[in-house]
Amino acid sequence: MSRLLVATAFALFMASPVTADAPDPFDLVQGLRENGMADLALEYLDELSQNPTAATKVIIPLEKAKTNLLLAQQETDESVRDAAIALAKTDFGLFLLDHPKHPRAAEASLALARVLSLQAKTALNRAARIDVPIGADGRPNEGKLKEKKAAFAAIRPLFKDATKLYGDAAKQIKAIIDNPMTEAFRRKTLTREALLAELDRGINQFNLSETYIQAEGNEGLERAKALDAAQLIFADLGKQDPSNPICWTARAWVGACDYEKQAYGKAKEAFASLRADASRNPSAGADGVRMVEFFEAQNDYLGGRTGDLSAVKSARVKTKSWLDKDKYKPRMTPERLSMTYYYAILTQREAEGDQGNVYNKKASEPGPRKLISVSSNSRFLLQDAAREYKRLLDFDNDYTDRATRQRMRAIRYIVGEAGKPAAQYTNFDECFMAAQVRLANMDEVLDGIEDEEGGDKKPDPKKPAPKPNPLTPEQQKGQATAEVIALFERARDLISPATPAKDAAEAKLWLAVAYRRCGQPQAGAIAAEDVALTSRGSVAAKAGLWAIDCYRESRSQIEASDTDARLVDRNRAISLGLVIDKAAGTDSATDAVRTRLGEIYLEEKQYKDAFDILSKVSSGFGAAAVARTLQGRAAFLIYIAKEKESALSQNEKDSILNRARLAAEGVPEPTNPDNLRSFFTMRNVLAQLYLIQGGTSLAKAEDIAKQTVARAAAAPLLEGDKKAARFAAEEVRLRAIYAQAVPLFKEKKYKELADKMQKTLLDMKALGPAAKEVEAYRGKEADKADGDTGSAVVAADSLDRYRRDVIVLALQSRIREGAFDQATELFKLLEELGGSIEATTDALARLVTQVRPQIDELKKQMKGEEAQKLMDVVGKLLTDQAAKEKLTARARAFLGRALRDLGLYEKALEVVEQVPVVDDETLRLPISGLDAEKRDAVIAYQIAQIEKARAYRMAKQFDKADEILTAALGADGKSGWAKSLEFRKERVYVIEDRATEAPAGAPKLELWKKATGAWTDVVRPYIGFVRAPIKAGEDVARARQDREKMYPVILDLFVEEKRCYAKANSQLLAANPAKVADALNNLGKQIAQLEKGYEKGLTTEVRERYAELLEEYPPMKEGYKQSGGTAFLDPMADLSDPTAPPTGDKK
Amino acid sequence: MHIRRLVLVLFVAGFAGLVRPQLASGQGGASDSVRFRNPKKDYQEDRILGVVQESAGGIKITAANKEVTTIPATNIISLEYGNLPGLDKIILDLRTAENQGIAVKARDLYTAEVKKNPTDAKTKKYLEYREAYWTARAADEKTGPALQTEAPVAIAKLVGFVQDYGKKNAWEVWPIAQMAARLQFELGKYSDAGSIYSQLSKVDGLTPELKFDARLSECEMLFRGGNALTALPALDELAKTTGFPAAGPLREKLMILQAATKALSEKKPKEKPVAATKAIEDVVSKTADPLVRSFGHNILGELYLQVDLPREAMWELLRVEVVDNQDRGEVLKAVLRLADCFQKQGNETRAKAYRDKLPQVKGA
Repeated sequence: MSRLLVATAFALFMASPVTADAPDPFDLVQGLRENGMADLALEYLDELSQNPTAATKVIIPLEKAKTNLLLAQQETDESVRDAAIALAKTDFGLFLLDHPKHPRAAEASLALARVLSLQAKTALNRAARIDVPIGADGRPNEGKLKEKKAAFAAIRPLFKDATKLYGDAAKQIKAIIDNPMTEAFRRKTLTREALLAELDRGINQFNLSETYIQAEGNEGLERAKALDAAQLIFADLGKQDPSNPICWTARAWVGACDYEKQAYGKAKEAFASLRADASRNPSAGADGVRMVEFFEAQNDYLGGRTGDLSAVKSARVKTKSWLDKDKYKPRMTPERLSMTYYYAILTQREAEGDQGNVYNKKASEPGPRKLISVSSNSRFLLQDAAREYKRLLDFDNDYTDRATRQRMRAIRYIVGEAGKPAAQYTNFDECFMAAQVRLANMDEVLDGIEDEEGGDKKPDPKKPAPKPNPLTPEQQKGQATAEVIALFERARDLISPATPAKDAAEAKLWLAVAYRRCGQPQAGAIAAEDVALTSRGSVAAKAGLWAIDCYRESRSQIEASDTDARLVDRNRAISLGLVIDKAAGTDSATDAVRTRLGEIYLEEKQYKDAFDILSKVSSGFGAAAVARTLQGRAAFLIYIAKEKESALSQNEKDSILNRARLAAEGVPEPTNPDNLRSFFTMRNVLAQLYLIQGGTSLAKAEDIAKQTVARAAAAPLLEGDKKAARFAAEEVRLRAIYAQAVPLFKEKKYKELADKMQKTLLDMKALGPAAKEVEAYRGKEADKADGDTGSAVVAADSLDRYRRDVIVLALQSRIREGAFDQATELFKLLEELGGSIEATTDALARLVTQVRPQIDELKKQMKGEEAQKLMDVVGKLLTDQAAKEKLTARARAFLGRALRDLGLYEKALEVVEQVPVVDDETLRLPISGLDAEKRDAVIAYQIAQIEKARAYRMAKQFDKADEILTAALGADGKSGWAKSLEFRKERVYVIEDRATEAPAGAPKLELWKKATGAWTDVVRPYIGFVRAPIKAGEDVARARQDREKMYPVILDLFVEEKRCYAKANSQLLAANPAKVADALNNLGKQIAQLEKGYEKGLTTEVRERYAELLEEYPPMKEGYKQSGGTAFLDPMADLSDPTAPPTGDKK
Repeated sequence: MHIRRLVLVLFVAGFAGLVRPQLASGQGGASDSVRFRNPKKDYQEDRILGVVQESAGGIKITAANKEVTTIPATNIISLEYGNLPGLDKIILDLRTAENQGIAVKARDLYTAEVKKNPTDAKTKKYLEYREAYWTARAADEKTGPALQTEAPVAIAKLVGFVQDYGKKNAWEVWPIAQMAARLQFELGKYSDAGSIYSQLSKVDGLTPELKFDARLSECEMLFRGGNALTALPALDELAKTTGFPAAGPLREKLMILQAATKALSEKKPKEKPVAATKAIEDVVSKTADPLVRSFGHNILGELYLQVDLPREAMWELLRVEVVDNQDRGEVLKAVLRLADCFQKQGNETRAKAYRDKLPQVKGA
C-alpha cells in the first residue's frame, strides 16, 4: 500500500466518528481514558475481546496497550509501573510488527516512542543515582565509575530508538496531514500532534546527551554531537509556526542547549530574541517565555547550589519567583516539578548555612562537621524545605527518591539528637525521624553500656565521678532498646490519612527492623509481614524480604527438637514469599525474595521448586549471579537424581539443564566489583552444568572455564578473592579436560590421551603448585585488604589435589602405553606439584588402585611379561618414594600397602618393617584421646601390621601371618590391641588360604569348616546387635536407625561367608559337579533371603560385591533369581556418572 | 474521537457561558451579543453580534451587514444585551458572585434587584430570569436531604417564571422549563417532570418543532417512569400528528422512544431486548445529529436498567458521559443513572463517586 493510501485510510478512520457510521467502540475506550476511567476502559476492552469483529480484533491489543500505559503512568510503585510500561511497550511493538501498514500504525509508533523515551528517562534517573565515591587520593572510585558509565551506555540505545520512532511517527502523521482527503479540523489536531512529536524528539535527543558523563575525551565529543543534533531539531521546529506555542517552546530549548554547551552568551542572545518576538505575539509566545524563565532559573540554581550563601539566597529568590508566576497552571508540569525541587534544595542549603546554627567543630577544621542544633530561622527554612519535598512525594516522579532523601535530611536536622520521650512527639515525620536517629545511635549506646560494664572506660580525673546507674547493664540495654521500639511504635500510631502511603509503610517496616535489631525477630517478622500483605509493589516485596529473613532468624533460635514451631516459621516464610512472587514484581526486592525462597527449597532438597522460583529472577537483578548459581545447583541436582527418585523424565531434565545454562549465560560480568565473586562462582557452576552432561558438552565446559580463568585474572578483585576465583575456575577446567580424557582411557587410546594432555601438563609445570601462591595466607588471619584468603587457600589445595589426579591419569596412560621414561617424567611432575611427600604418596597409592586391575587382566590373558614390566615400573616408583628419608610413618605404611597391592610382597614387607613400633599400652588407648602425633603413629603401625599379615598370607607364609594377627587380636582368652574388623577378617582369610592350599582330605575339610565357622563368629555380634530388643524408654526411631546403619556391615560379612562356602564346596565337592551346583544354588537362595531381610543396607558397594560373587558362580545366580532376588543383578544401574573424578570431591 | 474531545471542551466552555449569563454592560447603543451552539459546526460554541428580536421559540439576530440568523431557544447559551434600561451600572458584587459561581449569593443579589421592581419590562424579565436560574443553581449545589428540601422551592420559582412568561413570547421559558423538569427528574418525580414538558408544549409562540420536542420529552418521562402503557399510544399519536417531521432528529428520537417503550411493555427481566437494541442502534448509527446519538444511548441505557441489566446500561450511559456529550441535559441524566448502575453492580465506591460528581456536572 502506498503511503498516500495508508494516509487516506488513516484519515478516513480518524474521521469516522463524525460520519454516519456505526458507533465506534473505541470512542468509548478513548473517552473513558480521557475521563480518568482507564480501569473501566480495560474492562470494556475485555468484554469486546470476548466477541470481536474482524476489525475490532486488530485494534483491541493497541487500545489495551494504550490503556495499560496510562494505568502504568498513574502507578506510584516503581516496580509495578516498570512492569506495566514494559508490557505496554511489548504490545505496541507487537502491533507494529503485526500491522505495520495499519491506519493506526502512526499512533502506535508515537506511543512506542513515548514509552521508550519514558523508560530511557527512568533508567537515566536510576543511573544518575549510582554514587561514585571519591577516594583518599581525590580520584573517583574506578569500579563505581565504570559501573556508572556502563549503566549510562546501556541507556543510549533506548534514547536512540525513541528518537528514530518519533521521527518515523512524525513522518507518518505528516503524510496524513498532506493528504487532501484529510478534513480541515482533523488536520489541525494532527499538525499539533506532529509538532509535539518533534518537540519530544528534540527533548529525547537532549536527554541522550546526559548519558555522557565526562566532559572530555570521546565522551565529551559524543555529548556535544548529541546536543548539536537536539539543538538542530529545536531550531527547525522553532521556525515552523509562529502561531503555535509548541514552536515557541522549541525556541526556548535552543537556548537551553547553549547553556548545556556552556555557550552562555549565545543562550542569552537566544532568550533575548525570543522575549522580543514574544512581546509582539504574547498569546502564542507565552509558553516560550515561561520556558526561558525556567531555564534561566535552573541555571541560577545550578550555580547557586554549589556557591556561597549569597549565591544560594539569590538563586532561591529566583526559583521562588518562577514558582509564584507558574502557580496558576492547572497541572504539575515537569518544569514546575524541577523548580519545586530546586527551591527546596536551595532553601535547605540556606538553612544549613545559617549563622545561628551550632556545629561540633569550626568550618576551618578538617573532617566533616556535624550539625548539633539549628537556629529558629534555620528551623523555619528547613520546615519550608520539608514541605516542598513532601509536595514532590505526593506522586511518583523523577525527584521522588531525591526528595525523600533530602526531606529526611531536613527533618533529621529539625529533630536533632532525638532525645525526647516517645509520648512527647505529636508529628509523624519528626517522631519517625527521631526513631531512626535513635536506632542508628543504638550500637553506640550499647557499646557505652558494655564499656561501663567491663570497666574499660578510664574515669576522667577532672570530672566529678558520675552517679552510679541503679540499673544493671542488662536492664540498661533493655531500656535503650525499649525506647527505640517505643519511638517507632509511636510513629506508627501517629500515622494519619494525610500521611503518604509510602511513608506509612516505611514507618511500619522500620518498626520491624527495630524489633529485629533489638533481638525480637519473631515480632519483626510479624510486623514486616503485615506491611508486605497490606502494601503493593516494591514496598511489599521489601517488607516480605525482611519478614522472610526474620522468620529464618527466628527459626534458627528455636530448639531443633521443637519441629512444630520451626515448621510454622518456615511455612510462613514460604507462603509469604509466594504471595510476593505472585504479584509478579520486577524490582530487586521481589527478586531477592525469590532468591531466598530458592535457598530454602534447596536446603530442603526440593530442587524442582527451587529451580522454578529461581527461574523467575530477572536477569537485571543486582545479585542475578547468586540466583543463577543457586538455580544451576538445583538443575545440577535434578539432573543427577536417580530415576526412581525423580518424577521427571530425561527430556524434562535436559530441558531444565538447558534453561539453567541459558539463564547463567545471560548474566553479564558485573561492573560492580562487589558482585564479581558471585559472578565467577556462577561461571563455574555454568561450566559444571556442561560438564555433567558429558560428550560434546565437555569441550564447552572447558571453554567456559578457560574464559573464567582469564576473566578472573583480569578482574578488579582483591588478591585473595582473585586467586580463589582463578583456582576454582582452573579446577573446573581440569575436570573438563579429565572428563574428555576418560573415554580415551577406556578405549585404551593411551598415547592419544597422554599426548592430548601434554600441553595441560606442561602448563601445570610452568605454573607450579597453587599452594605456593597462597603460602603467605596459610595459618594467618585474613587481612581485609587481601580479600577472602581462606577461600583462596582452600581453592589452591583443591586445585593441586585435582592436578595430581590429572597427572596420575596421564601417568597411568604412559605406563600402559609402555612409555616408562615419560611416566618417570610425570612422576617427577607429580612430586613437584605434590606439595608434600604425603600428597605424592597418596597419589601413588591411587595410581596402584588403578593399575592393579590392569595387571590382573594381563595375567589372565597370560601376558605375564607385560604384567611384570608394569609391576616393576610402578613398583620402582613406589620403592623410590619409600626410599625418601623424610617419609612419615603413615606415608610409609601407605606405600607398603600399595606395594602389597601390586603383588610386591617382599618390598612391601621391607617398607612396612620400617614403620616405628608403638608400645602395647598406647595401642590399647582410645584413638580419639591421642594427640595428632601419637594418633598418626598408631594408625601407621596398625596399617603396617595388617599389611604385613596380608603380605605374609599372600606370600603363603601363613604362620608368620598368624603370628602377627595373634599379637594384634590376642589369643587364649587374652584380648589384643586390634579392634578393627579388618584384622578379624584377615584372620579368617588366612584360614581360608590355608584350606585352599591344604591337600584334599580330612584336614582340608576341617580347615574349610573352621573358615566358614570363623565367618559366622565374625558376623554374630553384629546380628546380635540388630536383633536386640529395643529397651523401654529408648528413642525407638533412633534405635532403629542405629540398627539399620549396621545392615551394610552385616551384608558385607555375609558376602564373605557365602563366598567362603562357595569356594569350600567347589573344592570339597569338585568330583561331583551336580552337588556343587546344588550347593551353590542353595547359597543363591540364601542371598535372596538376605536381600529381603536387610533391604535398607543395600548400598552400591554391597550390591557390587554380591553381583561379583553371583557372576563368579552361575548356579548361585540361578538360585538367587529363582528366589526372586533382583538388587544384585544390575548394581551398576544406579551408579553415579562414570566420568566423575576419582577424588570424589564434587563441588 | 479527537473531534468529540474538542467538541466536549468547547461545549463545556459554552455551557459555562450559559449558566453564567453575562451581566448587561448597560452601554446604550451597543450591539446585543448571542452565544449559541451552532449545529452547523457540530454544536460548537459560536457568537454573533447584532440586534436581537426575541420570541418564545428563540431569537433572530440581525448583524451589521443585515444578515439575519435564527437561533432556536434550544441552542441559546447566553444573550448579552447591548442596552438594558435601569441597569446602566455594573453591580460589582453580582458580577463577582456570578464569575465565581457563588450561587446563593448571586441568587440573593438578583432577588434583591427583582424586589426593586424595575419598570422596564425587558430588564425585569432579565432579572427574574437570572433570579430563577441562580435559584436552581443554588439547589443544584445540594445533595441528599438538603436537595430534597431546596429543589421543590427552586422548581416552584422556575415553574412560576414559565407561567408568568408563558404567554409573553420569552425565549427564556424554554431553558427555565428544562431546568425545572430536570430537577423533578432528579427527585425521581417523572410524572411531575412530564407535566412540566406538557405545560411547555403549550407555550404560545414556540415553534412546532419545539412543541413536538416538548411532547417527546413528556413521553420520555412516561417511559422513564415505567409507564409504557400510556407512553406507547402517546408516541403513536405523536407520530401520526400532522406536521410531525417525517425525518430528522425529532423523527429519530421518536423512533428511539417507540422502540424502547415497546420493549418496556414486553419487559423480560435480565433478558437483553434484542429487537429494541437493534432498532435504536440503527437509528443512532444512521443519524447525522450528535444530540440524537446522545439521546439514543441514554434511552437504551435506561431500557437496560429497567430490565435489570446494569452492566449493559453502564456502557451506554458512559458513552453519553464521555463520548456523545454535546447535550448537557442528556449528560446530567446519564450521570444520575450511572450512580444507580454502579450501585446495582455492588460497586459502592464508584456509585458514591458519581453521586459526589453530580453537583460538579450540574455546575460545569
